[in-house]
Amino acid sequence: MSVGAIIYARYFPEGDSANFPIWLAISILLLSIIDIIKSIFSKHKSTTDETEVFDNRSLISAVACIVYLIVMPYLGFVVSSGILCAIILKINKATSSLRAITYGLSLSVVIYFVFAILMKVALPIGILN
Amino acid sequence: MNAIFSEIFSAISQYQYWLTLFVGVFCGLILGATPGISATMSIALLVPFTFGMDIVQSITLLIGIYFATIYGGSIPAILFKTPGTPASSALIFDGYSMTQSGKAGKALSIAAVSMLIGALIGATLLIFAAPYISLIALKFGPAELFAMASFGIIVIVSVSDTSLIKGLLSALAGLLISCIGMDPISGYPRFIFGCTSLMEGVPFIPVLIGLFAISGALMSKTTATNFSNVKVKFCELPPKKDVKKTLPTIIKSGFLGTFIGSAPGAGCDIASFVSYGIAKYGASKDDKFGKGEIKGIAAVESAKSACTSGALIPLLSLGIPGDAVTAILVGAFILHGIQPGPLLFENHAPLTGVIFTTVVLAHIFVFAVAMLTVKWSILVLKVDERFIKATVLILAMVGSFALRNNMIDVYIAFIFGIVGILMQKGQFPVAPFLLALILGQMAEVNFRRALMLSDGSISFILNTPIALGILLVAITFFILGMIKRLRKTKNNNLTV
Repeated sequence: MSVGAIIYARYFPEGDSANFPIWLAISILLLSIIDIIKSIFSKHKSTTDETEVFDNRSLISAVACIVYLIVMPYLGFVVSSGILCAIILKINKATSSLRAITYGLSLSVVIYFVFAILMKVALPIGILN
Repeated sequence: MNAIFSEIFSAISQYQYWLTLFVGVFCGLILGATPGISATMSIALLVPFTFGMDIVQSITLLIGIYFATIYGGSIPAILFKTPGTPASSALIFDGYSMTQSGKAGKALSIAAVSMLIGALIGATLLIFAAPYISLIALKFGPAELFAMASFGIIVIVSVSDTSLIKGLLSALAGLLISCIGMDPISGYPRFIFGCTSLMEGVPFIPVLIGLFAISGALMSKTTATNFSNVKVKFCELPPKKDVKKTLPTIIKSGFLGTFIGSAPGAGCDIASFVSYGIAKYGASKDDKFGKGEIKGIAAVESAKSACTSGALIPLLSLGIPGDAVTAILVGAFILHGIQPGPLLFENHAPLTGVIFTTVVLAHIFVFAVAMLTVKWSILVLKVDERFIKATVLILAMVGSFALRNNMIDVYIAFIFGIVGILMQKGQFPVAPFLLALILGQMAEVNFRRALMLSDGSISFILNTPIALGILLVAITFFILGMIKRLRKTKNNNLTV
């Protein structure tokens, strides 16, 4: 990130627009190198009690979110959010497929009502248009 | 004086006053608890309803919404690790930890009590010391605002749980991300990569939602938390010993929040993080900051609510809005033909009395509604955690979208959700990153303005006593924090 920022910021017009991000990027680079060296030579390995982990379920959920972000403008908020919710519930083995889909669609309809109708937030309608 | 009291009595003796206050507080709590809806958005959404009202009803509604929204963001922050407003994000470290250990009711009741006491401190300072505080606030120029931004970031870095280097890296990364967007001085678009939606910079509400809500929803828990045994009585106040333990923190944070709120440009999010950092810095050996410490919750809540009154100080006494919300309140005043400023007290003394009364009553109302709903809020926790996660994920997506009706914000939220997971894995603290992102532009802009005013000489720091004082305090905090950390490491090594 820092190297990218330094390279990109070199194309900014000369002056303070470029100086601040360049100095920040250089500082990040130097501190990162110090941190890496410190962790390599550190005798004491810090351990933490991990109450949350990123496992296969998390990975599948993340992929499902990426697909959701791509299709949401086309399918619309209600349909895509309902499907995503159902998939997340099934991945986490929360309930049966029918109940997951029912819960997902009900949730997205309620949220659509609150945001789009009450708060006038224009959510994508997609295929329901 | 008789005219002021008679106007106050005349206002509060009408049922419309209480109805308006109740509606404002109720709507504010719901909007504040909704991720993606900030206090500014809540006020902006409901301002049109005030067009047909008289000035007293209008101000009552807006003040009720403002105070309730700021508190409302605390409820999902404590229960679901999803702050409803940026100012509530500092509650996650201890509030959510308490929820995970089955003490959600205690966390919410301490938050409500701290909110009330902090609010009353802020209201008292507003009523009796507004002219004096505003004189100091008026002296805040670019150098002072840069110093305050730096102070906030340095304090949070110095009290981060992990290594100092990781804390600094986190803060610097936040500052670098804050550079994305149009350079506020020259207008040059930086790091937008052709995406015009990034011209205003990276919006921090989607970042907030991503770092906490989405990252939490995507991660899997190693042990399931069972909330079926959590029992909370209706309107249960926190135990006296807890209130006694947190009272010094609440009072300190109340004063700090009021002063920070009174500085134009400094909002409740700065007040909450700085108060948390200072409370953590002064922690004793028995305190468990970051693992469910009630002082952490008390510091944040007290500072946030005091800050709302603080933000009204420059508004009422000088006509200068303290933050984005009070900027909208200025509009509401002008709409009704009232010009806030030094002459407000002279020309509209009875109205000023009503405003002060409303400030106090609104906070009491928020406290009452908050205590009444603690039991019902906890009931949500008894729902299967997997359903809550899925719901939080969908709400996070729609909350990010609701900010600007732009899919880019949803992409930003998701990206920062992944960043949040990576930060957790790499043990990088989130608080410095978040605060640096919020304060980055304020720090850079005011630093460059101060440099321009001093013809490029950095000696502006030495020539502005307030800025120099704030920076010296910040450096002292940093050095003392380092010494504390070194001592702790030495003790740990001796134990091993």
